[in-house]
Amino acid sequence: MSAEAARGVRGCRRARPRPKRGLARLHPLAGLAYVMVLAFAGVVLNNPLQLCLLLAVILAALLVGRSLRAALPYLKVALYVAGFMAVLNPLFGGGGLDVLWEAHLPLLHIRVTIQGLAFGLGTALRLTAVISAFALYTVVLDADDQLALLSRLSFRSGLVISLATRLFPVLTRDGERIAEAQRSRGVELDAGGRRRRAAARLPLLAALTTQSLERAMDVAASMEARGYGRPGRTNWNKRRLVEPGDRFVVALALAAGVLLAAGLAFRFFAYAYYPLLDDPWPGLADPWWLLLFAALAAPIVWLALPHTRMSSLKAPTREARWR
Amino acid sequence: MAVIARLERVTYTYPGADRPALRDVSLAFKPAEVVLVVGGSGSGKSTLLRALAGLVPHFHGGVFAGRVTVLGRDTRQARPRDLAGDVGFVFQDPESQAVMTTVEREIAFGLENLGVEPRAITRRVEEALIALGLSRLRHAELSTLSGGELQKVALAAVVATQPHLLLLDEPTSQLDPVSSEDLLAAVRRLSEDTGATIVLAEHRVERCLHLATRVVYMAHGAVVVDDDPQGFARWAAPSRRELLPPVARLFVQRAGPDGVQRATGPAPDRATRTEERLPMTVKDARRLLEEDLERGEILQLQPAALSGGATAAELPSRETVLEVRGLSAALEPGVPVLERIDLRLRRGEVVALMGENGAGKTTLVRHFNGLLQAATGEVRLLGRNVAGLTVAQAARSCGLLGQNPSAYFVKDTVADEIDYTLDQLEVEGGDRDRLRARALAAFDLEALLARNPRDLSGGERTRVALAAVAAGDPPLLVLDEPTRGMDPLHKAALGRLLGRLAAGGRGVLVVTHDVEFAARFAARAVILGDGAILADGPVHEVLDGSLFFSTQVNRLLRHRLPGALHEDELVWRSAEPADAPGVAHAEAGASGEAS
Amino acid sequence: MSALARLPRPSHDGADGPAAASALARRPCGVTPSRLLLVALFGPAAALAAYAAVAPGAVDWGAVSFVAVAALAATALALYGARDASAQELSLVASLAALATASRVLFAGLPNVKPVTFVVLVSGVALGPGPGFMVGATSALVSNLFFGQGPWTPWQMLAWGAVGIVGGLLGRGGRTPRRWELVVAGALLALAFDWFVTVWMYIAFTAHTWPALVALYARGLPFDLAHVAATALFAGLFGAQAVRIVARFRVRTRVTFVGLEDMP
Repeated sequence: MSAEAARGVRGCRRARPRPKRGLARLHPLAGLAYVMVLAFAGVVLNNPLQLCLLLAVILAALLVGRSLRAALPYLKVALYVAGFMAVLNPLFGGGGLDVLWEAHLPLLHIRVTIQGLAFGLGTALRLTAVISAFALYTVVLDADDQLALLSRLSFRSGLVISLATRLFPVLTRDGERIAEAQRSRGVELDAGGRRRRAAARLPLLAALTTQSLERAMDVAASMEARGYGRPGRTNWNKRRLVEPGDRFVVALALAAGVLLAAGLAFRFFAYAYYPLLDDPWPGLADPWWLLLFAALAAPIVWLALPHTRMSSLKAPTREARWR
Repeated sequence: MAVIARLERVTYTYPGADRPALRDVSLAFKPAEVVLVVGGSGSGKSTLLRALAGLVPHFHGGVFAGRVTVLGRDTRQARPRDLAGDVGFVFQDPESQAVMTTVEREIAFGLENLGVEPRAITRRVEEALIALGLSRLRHAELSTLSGGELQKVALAAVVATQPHLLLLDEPTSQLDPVSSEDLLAAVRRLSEDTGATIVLAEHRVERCLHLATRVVYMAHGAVVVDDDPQGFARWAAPSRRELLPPVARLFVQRAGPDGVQRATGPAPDRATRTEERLPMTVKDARRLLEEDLERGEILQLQPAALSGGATAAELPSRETVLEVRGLSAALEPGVPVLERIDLRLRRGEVVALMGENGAGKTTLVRHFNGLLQAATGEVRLLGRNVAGLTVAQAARSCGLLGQNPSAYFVKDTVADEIDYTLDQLEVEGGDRDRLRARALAAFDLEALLARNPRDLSGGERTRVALAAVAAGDPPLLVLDEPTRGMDPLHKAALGRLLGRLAAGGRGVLVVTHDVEFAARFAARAVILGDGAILADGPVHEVLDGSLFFSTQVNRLLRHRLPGALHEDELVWRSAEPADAPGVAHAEAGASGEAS
Repeated sequence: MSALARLPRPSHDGADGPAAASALARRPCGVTPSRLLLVALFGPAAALAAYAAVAPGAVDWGAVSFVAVAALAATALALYGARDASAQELSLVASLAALATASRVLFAGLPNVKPVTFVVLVSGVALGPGPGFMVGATSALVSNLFFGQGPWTPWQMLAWGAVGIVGGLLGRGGRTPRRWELVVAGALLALAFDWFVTVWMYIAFTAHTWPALVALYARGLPFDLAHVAATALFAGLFGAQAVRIVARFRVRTRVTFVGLEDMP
């Protein structure tokens, strides 16, 4: 769910479906495949320039999905973690020949080299790319569609997750009510140190557990009464038609995936930081990289094109996707 | 087929229970009936519905004797899932039925289980949404819906499967009056349009008596009465008046056998009455009233005997327990909920706070014990400003009982709950014994001491939760919608308890939608709306002649007998020979002393 | 309704009775599109793993582990669907996962106190390894649905799933573990969880030297210690009671049909 849902926007009623932008307009499987391949690329690639271009593709996907602002919190997390890595690796990584600074501590020998710094930067870029790809997944792709996709893989797993997602806000509210109720009878929840405060909340957790499990039994009765467990169940989620655009994107994602896997095996995307930095520029002209980049960037370009953009505004074309 | 469902000599005991929940029950249900099942807590009405759905015995276990046949299938062999296409069940708690995340998927869930084709599912989902007026919520997330909307979604989900038998287990007990009316109206439309047999279990008889074709009253697991609404009303009139709507109760007094105030004088000639009918709605009652008045009956208002605390004259001398001055509150900046509220509560008062759903009543009372801190204005308890206190500290002066009594239970026995509160308030020694004994006596907990609070019925749970909150004897008690889902007997008991608490020197504020309850047990009424207090005064002034916040009796009599709120204040008598001679018509209560 | 809600809740074994048995027999255990997808996912992953076994130095462990863990998580989810889970079990698992996530909010005022591990452990003890795994995996997914997905999601799913399995082993045979067992298990599992989730960061994004490893874990140390302490505290103060509460909802259904003539 996007950050909006996480913040619990109540009263967000929908007579029309939530507007789907960018990657969300594709079949959920296509969207999933594409985002996963982006993340995979972030793990496999090493060349800093290639990584920058990958990041650009991810940002472009966010832009086309009009979710850059919603993704900002995740991007901040990404930068924070990446920044940590950019500091950690040079300091403790060792290696490299061009030493900038050295320190001999007991048990530890710190060697900061140019190569180390570059490696740190490269790692930071990779981490940012991977986390951003997942942010793309969270923010742009429609959670309900992804859940429906999971239901097609395994009906019960999809149902468990759907039910847990449904119950989480309810249980949170129950928890708040219990906390307020206990306060109203004189229980002090905020006094004392952390240990005391945690222990004061344990009876609340007990009450919440009991209440949640009773609710679970009521839900189970409701499920039984509505026929859960009957043989011959149909799946309504299949009704999303597969369009040429979806096939196109899946094919590209598969191609990119195969390229990356081959690149792992045959070292197409190898780039070394140690002992001396490789020249990153030739990597940009490398044919395998160009193929990969084309496969990754094409869907975004295609989604951003005017004719496809128009159809997202006109309801009839979109609704034709669903039976 | 002539019979949709039948129970034959069904006796059922839940696992671990010592008494059967159903005793030798035999009933038959025909197509297109609307059956209302009435009974107190523990009467077995919920069990009856579950037996019809197959949940009893397959889901709950236990010992089952007898036979239940639904559409020709015996539930001993047929499990709930096998019956699912023909039987639909709507449960009591709106939040505990839904399984999916959006409305349309939720409605589709049952259809998927039944193996309906996806195209047909799309269509049926659409029709169910339209039939229940939910089209604008089609893609809404369930977590954003209110209780009433959730129940409508549950009903839509069940109706989409087009069942022959529709079972509703107290569907409105967690809802406010407006949503309840909405849901019951939808049920009535469904019964007319689809011809399904509807079995509805309810406490609030007055809401649904008029849409039922048959009433089944149960007690202790057995069927006591099974008759059409008039027959039921005639049965209930002598000894079970609380089961009838207020206007019916009023006319019962008139027909009344012993025990009912009936002045001396020649009884009007019964033989001239076409039919001894009891009215179920205000409209029915108006016609009957005209007839009775023509026949020489008179309704008289008794001298006021206000229940619920001190009379108006004594009050100014009592201490102020709660004072609210200039309180303003907003959900977000720019969205005010309350604007400069002033309110005062004294010892000995029972005040009813009423208003529309969402008017801010709960928000207001949560300021009283510090759960919400006022940005503007102040709240004082016994003169002390609440702003500097934590909620737990304020709890010594203000006991707030929220809408969910279960949220207060953290221990395994009632006695432990009381002790827990006293521990938290750090009461020791002699004071503690005194307070404990007082709590047990005031709330009548002796019989419940060793029981688990979660095992108790709704009315008992409210009582225990109130005792837990009031164990430290705070001078102000605030209850937020305590009568939700309560049967009439428990409601009356609660009302009397509140009166006793107030008489003992406390201030009691009850937030309620239940106007009948407020009219009977409160001395003062406050109406909140549009962020401000719209009315604040004695109950008989505020509720009299009101367009919405009015009792059934008042609606019936407001033009003839202003100030009459409930039937206990009224007395029937026949026209005396001493009345003005030659006057053929009789008046209603010309000699009544308005309170 | 209230009286009903308090009674011990039975749980159905979906596979009982002749009708259910034949239904199981009719289920195709063959090829479905979703199974094909899994093979497509697992195949390359398995090939890579084989390659890695042959030539360890040449392999990018970061990528391989990423694919392997994602494939494992997806397989586990797919396999869960193959069992006949009753409505009660499904509902319990979902509620416990939602509870684990909601308890984070309950303790939100206390930073780094994450009761999720504790709840998953208790669920495993009370319900068994299979449901315990599912509670753990679902908690990770649901929790990240609301707080944001990240590459750590499959790792969390597997780690919390493992917590559930270990809990199930502790409680096998229906025995209630003693308090010290719960405390020790809780502490160790919390530690293992943090270690496992951080390990991918090391493999994929850190120079493979000892100082870097130490530094990476050192950064997380305050959070990890708080996690371990919180889990141990909960297990000690509340563990046995929690297991009892959850186990109460696991009672099996026993229906007894009585003839009318036997009625008293």
